[in-house]
This record gives sequence, structure tokens and C-alpha cells, in this order.
Amino acid sequence: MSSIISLVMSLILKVAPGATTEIIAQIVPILVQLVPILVQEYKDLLPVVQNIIAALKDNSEITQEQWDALDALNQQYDAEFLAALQAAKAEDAELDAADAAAAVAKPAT
Amino acid sequence: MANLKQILRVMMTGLFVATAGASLGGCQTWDQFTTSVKTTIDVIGGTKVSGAKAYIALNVFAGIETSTTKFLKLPACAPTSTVICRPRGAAAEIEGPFTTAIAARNQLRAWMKANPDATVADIGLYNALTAATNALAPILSKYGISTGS
Repeated sequence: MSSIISLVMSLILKVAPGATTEIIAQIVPILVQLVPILVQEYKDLLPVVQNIIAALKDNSEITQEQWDALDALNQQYDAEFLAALQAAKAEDAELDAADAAAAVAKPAT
Repeated sequence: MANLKQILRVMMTGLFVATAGASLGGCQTWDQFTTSVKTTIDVIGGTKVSGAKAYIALNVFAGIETSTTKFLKLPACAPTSTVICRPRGAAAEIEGPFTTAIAARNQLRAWMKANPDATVADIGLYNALTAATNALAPILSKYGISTGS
């Protein structure tokens, strides 16, 4: 756990606004070390971190393949987000209605 | 574990701030860029940013979005909740800012697809995405939205 935190803190210290590209390039090895941790515990973030690593490592332009993959990922994440949002709002509305009904039914003291 | 999740969230936000701030800072930041040989972080002619920079910003937002989805899937809090839960009203509060950010992201991607040279992105649309993403920070902080399950 402490090694993970020290890795992350190293990254945070390097990403201060105004950092040069050389400094940012030093972030890449840190992110690479985080990958196995993400695989194990935060796998939902793995694709985006891998994408960021690729963009920082490679000085060439982003390929059409990379853009297509990101677009597909965005579609997936959007669908999941919207579904979760609607379900959460519906649950909240149901609970609010139940609370209101209970308050009405409660005899006045 | 809760502190690690917060740190990872800060990391993602910090990485985004670094890439955004690196081109939107003051004279010292601009001088650093003009001497840089890398094109990853680059403002082109004052009206464009490199495609790689837009790519990174889009991925950072995707990370925030999927983390927020996990939070939304938590059960709603009850007075007797003993497990991690989602405060009532959080979903409604999240909806507006995320709708704005998703729209900004879509506009940026639409511009890049519509323009023949997809190696650059319009800086105005890029800035709109960064602003919309930054606006999410208080909400993420308020609800302690973590990066793990």
C-alpha cells in the first residue's frame, strides 16, 4: 500500500501546472507501474490510463485506430453512465415518495 | 483504501490540470512550450491544440465519467445504512454538469471528425471541455467519488 501511495505522490508532484514536456514525460514510467494495480483493483480506469501512457510516450500523432477505440469507449461509458444516472434518479424519487407518504400517514402530535 | 481512492482521483484531476495548464498558463509556461521539441503538448497558432493533447483530455474525462458511474450504481442511503451508499439527491446534482461536459466532449470530437486534419483540435472547443471537466471537481469532492469499486 505504501509503495502505491509513494508512486502516486511522485506523480502528483510532477504534474504541477506549467510542467515542461520533459517533466511530463517522466510521468510515463510512473503510470506504467500503476497498470498492474489498476488491473487488479481499478480495472475500469485501465483503458484510459493506457491511452494516456500511449499519448505521452509516443511523440507521433494519434492514429485513427486510437481515435476509433476511444470513440467506442466513450459510447460504452456514456451508455453505462446514463443508465446508472436514470436508475439512481428513479430510486431517489421512489424513496422520496415513500417518505412523503409516511409523513402524511403519521398522526399529528 | 479510502485515502488511496482519493489520491488516485486527485491524480487523474492533476494530470488533466497539467495538460490543460501547460498551455493556458502565463508567460513562463508559454516560453517552456516554445522551447519544447515534443508536439504532445502544443498550442498551434493560438487557435488549435495538438490532437494528442485533446486525446489525453478526452481520456481523462472518460476516467471521471466511469468513476462517477460506479458511484451512481451504489444503493441510495437510508437512515440505517451501514454500507457505502449514494446520498439522495446526488444523481440530480450530477446530471447537469455531466450533461454539459458530455456535450462539450461530443462537440470537440465532432469538430475533429469534420476537419480533414484530425491531428489538431479547435482550442475553443478544447477549452470548453477542460472548463466543463473542471466544473465537475466540486461535485466529485462533495460526494467523495472514488476511482475504485
